[in-house]
Amino acid sequence: MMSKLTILHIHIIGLVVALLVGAGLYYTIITKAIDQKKKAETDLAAVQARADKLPTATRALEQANRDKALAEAEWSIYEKQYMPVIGYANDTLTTWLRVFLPNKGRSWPERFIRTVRSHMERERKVNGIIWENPGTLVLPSYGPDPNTIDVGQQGEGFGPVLHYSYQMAVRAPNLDKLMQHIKSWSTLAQAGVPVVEGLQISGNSPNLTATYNVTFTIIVRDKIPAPVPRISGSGGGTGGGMMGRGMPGMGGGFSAPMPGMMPGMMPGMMGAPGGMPGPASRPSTSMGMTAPPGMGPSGPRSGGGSLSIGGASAQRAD
Amino acid sequence: MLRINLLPPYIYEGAKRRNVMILWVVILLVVIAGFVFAKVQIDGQTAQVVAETERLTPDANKADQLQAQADQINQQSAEIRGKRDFVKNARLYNSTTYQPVVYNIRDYTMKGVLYSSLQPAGQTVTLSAYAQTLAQVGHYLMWMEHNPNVSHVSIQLSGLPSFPVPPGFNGQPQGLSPRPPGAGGYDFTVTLTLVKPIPGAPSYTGAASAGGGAPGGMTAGPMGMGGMGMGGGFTAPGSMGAPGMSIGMTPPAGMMGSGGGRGPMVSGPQAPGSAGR
Repeated sequence: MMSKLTILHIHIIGLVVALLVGAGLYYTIITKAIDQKKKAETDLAAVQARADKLPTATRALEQANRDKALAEAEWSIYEKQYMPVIGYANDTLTTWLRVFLPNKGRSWPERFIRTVRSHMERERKVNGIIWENPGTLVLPSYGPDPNTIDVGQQGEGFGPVLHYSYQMAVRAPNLDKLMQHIKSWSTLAQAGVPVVEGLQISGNSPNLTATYNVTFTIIVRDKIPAPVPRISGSGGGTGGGMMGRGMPGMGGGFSAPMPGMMPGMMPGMMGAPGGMPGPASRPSTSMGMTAPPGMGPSGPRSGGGSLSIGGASAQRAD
Repeated sequence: MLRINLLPPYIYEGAKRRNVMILWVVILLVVIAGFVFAKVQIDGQTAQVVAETERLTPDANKADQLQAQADQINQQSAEIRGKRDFVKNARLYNSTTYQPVVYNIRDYTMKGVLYSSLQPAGQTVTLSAYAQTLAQVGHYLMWMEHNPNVSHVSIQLSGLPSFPVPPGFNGQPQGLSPRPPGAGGYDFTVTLTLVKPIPGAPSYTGAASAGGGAPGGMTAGPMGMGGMGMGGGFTAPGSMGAPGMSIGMTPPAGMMGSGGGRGPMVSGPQAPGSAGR
């Protein structure tokens, strides 16, 4: 057999075998090695990119810590200055009794009104600002159901953020005093963060009249009270003096004539009696709870109605 | 003497075949060795890359860890930063929103021009003003037009005299509050378009909401003082009180009687003392 192979045949066979072996080796061990190298390089690039971020990440961490510390420090100051402790108790019933019924000036609405009025009184002394519509500063009735209290605007419940908004009308001796007055709202403490907008000025010095809207934003510091599921309440009118913001208007038909005003409330702030549906009235918790005239509550908060605990119903008489 | 090999060629081909085969075997071995060498080289480089990767991995992991910590801290402090930013923005808003606008307008108001109302709303400020003479109105416009904080000045003014100007004409004999009692002059409404609009008030409704609030709340109807045709009966009814009236929008002069208010087109309100003048 071998004797029949010529040298040419041997060359051809050798060449073919060499090519086959070379190709076989290339497509097996070499390409595999190259693939591994490429993968390793890709991994290296990724790790390198991540490692290159080390200084940036270090700075980012330092910056984050600084920002957090600064924010906490500044917020601590702002919180102490602006955010009141409303005085929530552990449950809504106790909170309602302590904070949302007239409480010798210690209820939240009374404290809030007193704070704003004190500020305006201070403005009168400092900048000569005459508050022309103090009656605008009213808070709505919170109703007899402790579980459905909207401390701020409708739907806000007990927080964590509450808003109050009032249209103010003031008279200033001159433009500088008026601008100082606008600026002075930022100094008001314990009534939320006031923001003034919608300024309109008319008249001339020394009877410069301005109207604007001031919105108080309270980020509640207190722990939100837990609802008391065994309690529900229903009642009618809002009592006196609480219609100013157009928020109440709780139906219910409770029409006790001019029930007691909140201490410190201005005369003439009386709202329409209950049953007048306001455009932004709070939803009535109950309808048709008509109390006999003269038996209405003396406080503006309850507006009469009933309070039932665990199925038993107790008519409030105070 | 010539030597002739008479042996047949196949006698020698065996050795040649053997040598050629050995040659190809050697070539084959060289090829194999070359590939193995190449693989070893590549593996070496790969090992270097892997070693470098392993060397950098702790740094990379540390960077990831630090960044994750930073992100976590930022996430944790987002709420408190939001609250802090809201209070900051609110304080800034109360002290820097209206004051610069009002003071800037005051600084570009000529002496003799009195305002009775000022109403900033978004990008415009509407003012009700009074000037004793038309020249003062003109100079006021020229002055206010140079205010760098105002991009456009629009004025509404009525009661401009037709020609020939009646004797003793002194503008509108009655007007709103800023004018001195009994004085003539011109009430007009100015609408200034601000270069930088008044931003919306900041608001906070909960987590991550410390930005600017809805713009405005500062809207009200225009005061409409200037365009109400209080100019002593010199304006035709069709032009009276038209909002947006600008300077020069008086009726054609030829249609107005020199006596003001006696022409056939005039049936509008006439200020006392103007008729029959």
